Amino acid sequence: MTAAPTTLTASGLTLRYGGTRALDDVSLSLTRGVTGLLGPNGAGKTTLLRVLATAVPPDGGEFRALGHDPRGSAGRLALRRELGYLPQTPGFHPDFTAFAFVDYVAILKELTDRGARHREVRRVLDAVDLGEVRGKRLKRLSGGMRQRVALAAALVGDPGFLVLDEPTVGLDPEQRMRFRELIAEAGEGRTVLLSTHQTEDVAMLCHRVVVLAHGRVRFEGTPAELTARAAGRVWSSDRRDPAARAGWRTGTGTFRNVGDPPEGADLLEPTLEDGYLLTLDGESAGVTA
Amino acid sequence: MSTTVEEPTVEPTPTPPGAAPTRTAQRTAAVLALARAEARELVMTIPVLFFFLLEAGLLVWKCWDEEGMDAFPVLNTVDRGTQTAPLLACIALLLSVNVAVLRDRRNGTAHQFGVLPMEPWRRTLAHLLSVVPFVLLTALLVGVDYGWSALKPGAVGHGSLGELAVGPLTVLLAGVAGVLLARLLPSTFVPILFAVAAYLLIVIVLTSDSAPEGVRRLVPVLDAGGGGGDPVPSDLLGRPASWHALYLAGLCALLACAALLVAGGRTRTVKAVTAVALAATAAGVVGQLPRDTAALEAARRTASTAPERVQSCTTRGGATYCAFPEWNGVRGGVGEGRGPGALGGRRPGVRPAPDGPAAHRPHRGPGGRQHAVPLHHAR
Repeated sequence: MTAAPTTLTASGLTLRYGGTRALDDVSLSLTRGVTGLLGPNGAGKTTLLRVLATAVPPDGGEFRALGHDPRGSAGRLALRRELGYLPQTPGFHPDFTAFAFVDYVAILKELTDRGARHREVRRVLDAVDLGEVRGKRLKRLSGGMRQRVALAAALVGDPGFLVLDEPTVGLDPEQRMRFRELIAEAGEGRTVLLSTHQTEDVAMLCHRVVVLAHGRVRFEGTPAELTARAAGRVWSSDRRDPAARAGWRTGTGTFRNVGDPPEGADLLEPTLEDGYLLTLDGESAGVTA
Repeated sequence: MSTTVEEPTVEPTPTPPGAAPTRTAQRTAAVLALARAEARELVMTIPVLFFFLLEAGLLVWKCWDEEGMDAFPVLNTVDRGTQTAPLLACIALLLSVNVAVLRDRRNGTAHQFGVLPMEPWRRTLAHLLSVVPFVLLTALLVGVDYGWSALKPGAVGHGSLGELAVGPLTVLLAGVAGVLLARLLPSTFVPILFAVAAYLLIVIVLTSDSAPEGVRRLVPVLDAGGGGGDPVPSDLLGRPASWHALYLAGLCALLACAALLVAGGRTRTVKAVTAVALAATAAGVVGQLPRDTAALEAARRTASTAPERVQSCTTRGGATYCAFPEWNGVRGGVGEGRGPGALGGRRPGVRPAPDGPAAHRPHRGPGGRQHAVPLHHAR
């Protein structure tokens, strides 16, 4: 089996905010498909995404994406031409229609042929199921619809590298499901880096996962490998086991414990979330993401 | 943790849909596309739409509702009359362009648009270009205003291109100032304060007798009254219209370049244009400095106190019409050139008088254009 070609490599990325290391020697590689970026609040996820999206240069280290080195202006411009970026809290021009807003972004992406650009705008709006409301002003759309407009804006121009910063935050379950479909579609043939708090999103969408804490990479591998970290370390009990690093009562009334099980414990099938919790190992973030 | 990449292979990515064949042409086309989009947005803003429609409406009303001497317009007065009409539209444009530039900041899109290929200085350029349609619209309105008068059979004299250019250039200056203010002081209150202060300053300078002539000529509109006094012969006008137009054009270019430089567009082209604009502005300032000559002063004195020395007269239906030589043979056949002797020793009409303080100062712009004056009835 041939390994998927690497589309992004980063090594030794460092970024300080004042005296705090938001990124501390971050090295990773991405391939085509959806890669999940997990981490607690303040782990440095957003900072990493902003660096990889060329919004902010790192203090140290380097990365190349899609063959472009963004340290030089030419490389940065070349990368930006192939980049789609959905920030954590995307802004909107409320008086623009959905079509006008995405068209505006398309112009800023230097899609200049008017007819082709309009076809592309219609394509991405249709892709996010907003074709019917493309003439509506953004201020009249729901939060979920606006989020999809932002995704459409990120997708316009068919970028090869998509950076999505917690796109499902604030969405209801139905909208989240729809977003998962969209992200999965986007990941076909593209490099997608998806920052999220939702381990289910990662489990369902991602072929690879990176766990970040305190600005450092704690894990990089497949979701199955992350899940395997919890193999033999999840057990059930009638009450919360004091030896467990985490434990909670489940719907059946028993407790699910994660940590180092006692002898003869009733072991359970681990989940990605269990592996994630054990990878963090009780760490709390000390930097602002 | 780091991952060792054995074979970093990146396949070439396809050209995005709608991309132009060459990058330079594509970038230029993108700026123009954004300028068109921004111009469309500007048209839809209520102040801009209202004041430009008002300006057009007033022009139509002016053309429709004519009376008396309107049939005998003095074109070297009419051209100046076109300068004040766009002032309210200027203010509307200044504020609206400023709001448009600050839109990203206000709506929180700056951070996501900041990673798009079009750099801030090119977006600034697009905002500057978005004003151009309004400049052209103003030029059209000025052209209609002037052309309507010029086509009348009773029209006399010649308009100056320099005077006619002041209105459109003032609109351009307002738009450019709006963009620059947004780049320098990103607050929506700043342009409001600026517009009020600028308007008051212009009115004060133009209406103040104590303001030095050199300072008066630095304000965009040369004569707020549009030539409210009696018309004067063109060769006695001495207005620095062409130099003033050069000054305004240079100032527009200079402020536009300043906006581009502030936005990060420190390219060789922008720097070169800045230098040229600075030179043009300086030339315009120096060129329109008051430089009265004794000969012009003497000619004005003669025209005011003893016009019979330079006028020629004609009698029609018992009335005698006198005019300066350049008015002879006026279209419409109101009067034809005659010698002063035709009056039988009567003193000819002396209605022509120097047209305000500015008119008393001799001046010749780059074009050196002078103007004509109408016939006047000698009672």
